[in-house]
Amino acid sequence: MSTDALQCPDCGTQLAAPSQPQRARGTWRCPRCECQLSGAWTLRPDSLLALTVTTSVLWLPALILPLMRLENLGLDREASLLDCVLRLMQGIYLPVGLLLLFTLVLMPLLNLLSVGRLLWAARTDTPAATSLAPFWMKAYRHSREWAMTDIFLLGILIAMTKLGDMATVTPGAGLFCLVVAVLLRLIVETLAQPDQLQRLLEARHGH
Amino acid sequence: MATEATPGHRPLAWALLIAAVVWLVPANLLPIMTVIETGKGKASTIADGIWQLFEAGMPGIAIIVFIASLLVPFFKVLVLAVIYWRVPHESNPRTSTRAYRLVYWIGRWSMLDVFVVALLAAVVEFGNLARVEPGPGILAFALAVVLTMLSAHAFSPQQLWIQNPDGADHG
Repeated sequence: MSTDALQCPDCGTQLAAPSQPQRARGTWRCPRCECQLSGAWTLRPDSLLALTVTTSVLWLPALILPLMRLENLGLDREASLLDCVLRLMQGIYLPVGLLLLFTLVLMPLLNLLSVGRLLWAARTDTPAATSLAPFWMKAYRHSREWAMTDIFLLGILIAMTKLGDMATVTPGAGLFCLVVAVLLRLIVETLAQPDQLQRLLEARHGH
Repeated sequence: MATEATPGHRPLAWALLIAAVVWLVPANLLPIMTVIETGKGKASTIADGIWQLFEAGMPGIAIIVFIASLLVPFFKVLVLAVIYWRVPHESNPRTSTRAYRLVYWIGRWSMLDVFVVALLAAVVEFGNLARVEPGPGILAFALAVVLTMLSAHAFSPQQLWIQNPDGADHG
């Protein structure tokens, strides 16, 4: 597929790309089904890559540091994200535990790796960098949907309010890392739309 | 996401959707968790959990949980069924595609209840004094959510446009 013609992913219409997609402002939508084909912002690989690296630094502490601390009748207990996953890895709840592992650990990791790899390919000129691009693009598209740390954050808020009446709840260091990591991921995902990134790669390395 | 030229597989989408509906029944009837305080256990279903939040004076959070864990799963299954049903004689593909996109992205928020149960079970662990155990309902609920997501995955909105290439004019 050449860079000036593309197919709408939702309705299959063949479309001509705007003459200067990198400079155009505002979102670009398919005229037939209104599928968003390009975000409102210019994709800047360098700054997004920096945000991705920051997220990956926060990622490990967000997993293993305690999210919250519970104090009740002189006893106290902490739990990290990994503890939540392991707690359900027992007995008949193993499928749920595996699902948590998948959506809260594996998919966010794949999301970081794939978007990092694609952004790196978008800023270097070596053709070798694009050979695996279709694989990483697919991984990126899937991980955007299946990485659910943003929903987990809302879950933490609900769990903390539920526990509020029976014990003293204090947020832990892991929670701060997780909040920042999720916010940065949302910024990167909003700015690096898969279709836009794909066209940037194709324009850069010419097919 | 349908990036390939091949449109989605509709019988598979139907099969996954029906499986999701089947799992939604035990998901709503069986307890999703049991709170054990000083030896006495209290099991609660999804609806119980929402009601407890209301009674505890947290209507805002109760409404969020109600939308994410009761309204969205049923709404999503219903909307997908209508979309799949209408494919052979689709008269308004633009509206259907819009509905599909909406349902595709809100479906993942149903996982909220699964995460809340995992968090409570992990953090409330004081032996016989106070403990939260997961209930079988959460297993059925997680399966239902994943099956609905996979069903939406198996379907491609391109199918809505095949029969009626310029059907957008009807709406």
